[in-house]
Amino acid sequence: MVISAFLVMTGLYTFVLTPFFVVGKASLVSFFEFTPFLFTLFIPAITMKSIAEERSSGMIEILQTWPISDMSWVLGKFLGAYFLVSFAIVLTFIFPMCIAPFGAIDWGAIIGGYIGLFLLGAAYTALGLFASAWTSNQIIAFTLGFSLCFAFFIVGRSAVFLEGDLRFVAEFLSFEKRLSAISRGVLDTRDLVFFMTIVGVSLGLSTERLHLRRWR
Amino acid sequence: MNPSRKKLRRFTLVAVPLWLLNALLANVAVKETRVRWDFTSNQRHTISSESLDMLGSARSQISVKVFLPSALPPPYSDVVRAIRTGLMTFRAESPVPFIVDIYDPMDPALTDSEKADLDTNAEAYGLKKADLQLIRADQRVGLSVHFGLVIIYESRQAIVPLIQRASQFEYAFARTLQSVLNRDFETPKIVFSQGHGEPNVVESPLKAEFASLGVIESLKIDGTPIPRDVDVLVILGPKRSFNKSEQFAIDQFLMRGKSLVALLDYRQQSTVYPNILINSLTGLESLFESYGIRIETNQTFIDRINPSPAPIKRDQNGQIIYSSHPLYPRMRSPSPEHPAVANMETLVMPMASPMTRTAVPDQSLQIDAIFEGTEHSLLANKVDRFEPEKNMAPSKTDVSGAKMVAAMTVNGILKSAHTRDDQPITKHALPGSASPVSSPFLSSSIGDSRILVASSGTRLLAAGQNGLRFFKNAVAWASIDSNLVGIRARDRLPASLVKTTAWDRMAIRIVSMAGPILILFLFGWIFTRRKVVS
Repeated sequence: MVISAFLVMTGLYTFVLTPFFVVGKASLVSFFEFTPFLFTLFIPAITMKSIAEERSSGMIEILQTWPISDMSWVLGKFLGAYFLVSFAIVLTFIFPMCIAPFGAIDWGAIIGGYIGLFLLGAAYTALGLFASAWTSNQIIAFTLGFSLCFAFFIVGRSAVFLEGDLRFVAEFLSFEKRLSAISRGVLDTRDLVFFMTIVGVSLGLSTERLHLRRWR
Repeated sequence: MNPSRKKLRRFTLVAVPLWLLNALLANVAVKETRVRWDFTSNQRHTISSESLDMLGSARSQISVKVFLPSALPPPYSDVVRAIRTGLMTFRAESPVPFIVDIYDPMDPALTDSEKADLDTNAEAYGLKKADLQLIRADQRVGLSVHFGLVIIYESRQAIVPLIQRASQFEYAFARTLQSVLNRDFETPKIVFSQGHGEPNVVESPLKAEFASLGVIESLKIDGTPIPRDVDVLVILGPKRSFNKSEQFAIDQFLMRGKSLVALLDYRQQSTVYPNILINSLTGLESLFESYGIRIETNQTFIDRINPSPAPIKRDQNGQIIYSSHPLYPRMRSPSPEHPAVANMETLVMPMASPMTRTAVPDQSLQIDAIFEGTEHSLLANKVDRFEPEKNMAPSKTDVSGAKMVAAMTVNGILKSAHTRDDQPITKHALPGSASPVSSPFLSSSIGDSRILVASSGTRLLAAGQNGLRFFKNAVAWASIDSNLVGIRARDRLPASLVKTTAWDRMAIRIVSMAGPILILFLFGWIFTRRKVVS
């Protein structure tokens, strides 16, 4: 259901709500600009129940008796949710294929855009999972996940109003700035490592959270 | 507290900072040893072959003094980052020592006397303070600070023009580097004509776009000879006609082997009734005809099948409303390798008029068509309204505009337009004037002259980024400085969509929205079925 809504909204925005055919360019700029915003809603909706539901239903007590480490458990949850997100992204491959017969697409920029979406999807999934690990209420998990994702996405825009080190931190943490570089078709190891560390830290902190809970 | 819990809490208290520290270390480590991949088809975000070739011609150390204020907010911080990254790339590719010294005039660690020394240092290199607009405490404030680069090579040095956008860096830097590497390089002087209702480019933000090409100035064309140090004359959208003596001054300017870029408008919107178009002539038509270009000023290109967006009017909030307009036709280039075109696929040329090549006796000129109509182009004889609906209505007098030219270049030894049978009409005086001329009359050009004429002017610049890019390329070509145009050519807009019918558009919309969902349901169905079977 969530994936269907995501696909309808991206298709609607890219080809109907924006003047795609008036602009007349063989490019998916509007899609790559809109999707990260949509992800801030869509991904927390997928991850909100990952751990929170297990906690509210009491399943977590049983799961924690299984002979698997908390890290493996969190990683499994992450991969499950990330598979769904990736599947939704893969389904949008049909967009460039639709345009390709009508104009010479720069496939490099498209590949870059999609790599950016996969990295962003991974980071948001990990953040959503982290939010889910903190509460047994799915609504709170969603709200917390959305707030985290949105904050990371929007923080770069606050750089204009900040001074000194705070500005540097805001620009460093900005998902939007890093994504815009990748969406141009340029992949830099700095951006790659940044998104991977966001995933690593979020999953690590989620594991620690479960670890603590185990001994309550 | 249970000892095990206590131990675990202590472990978590250590583990959390460890996770964060590891992340930080990974990011710091990769900052020093970064690798990047440019997936774009023309490697447009990587240092170009033109820059590399030029860098390869260096024989001794290149030194770059960089005054970069670090504590600037966006968009300046993006420019600062692009300059730093770009310089590192140039340094990595340089075959000779490439020394980069970066000074930060806004470094909070600097004392007042150190700041003053830094300012004196920058002034000594000839660097002027740049006026930046920042937001501080929710207020827009101005900041005057040294912000720029100086390139020093052997005994020569040059200042890189102010870089306002990250994408401008490579061209501006390479162009300046070229000027210091080449001993014989002289900065061309480019003047924009004034006095006939042309927009004042020199007083506008557009000046910065041309700053990297040479010295930019305005010049009032009033019939007096154009100064000898001028290399390129640019005439952009004159609203009043050039008289005989002014035409003569331009002719003699070209006879000195100089260059002319003319972007002309033959349909002007009435200031009182914007929907009414007024035909206008520039007076330059007879001049161009004698150089080999005839402009059919009574005809206008129209494209009713594949029109481009045009600014129609403003709404209540002052926002410009765009609509597809047949008077904004897309043109195609028959010579994409021409430096003024630089692989630009299409160019929207609003209200352009067709031009043809005329027979010019005894002149070995190279005349090239650089933009021409597409298969959808039509030529309308009478266009007097700027109303999309009215212009969409077919007319019986319309003829095909395919392959009809809207922009041309002329290159070679010209003969003066004021010469008949090699006898100058005026040998000692300007036409229509009894006053003697200070310089001798030239009946043919003393060197290769360059002329670029486009029959779409000021609106061409407002009809998309390609318009401005074409204008800059045209000026670069005219100033015989086209070897770096390739850098800018990579920054072109995405390719245009070919003509789409209503069915095509509907199909794209339906397939893009319903297609992924159908695939999703198919997967769901297969998954459910397998589950039931098992």
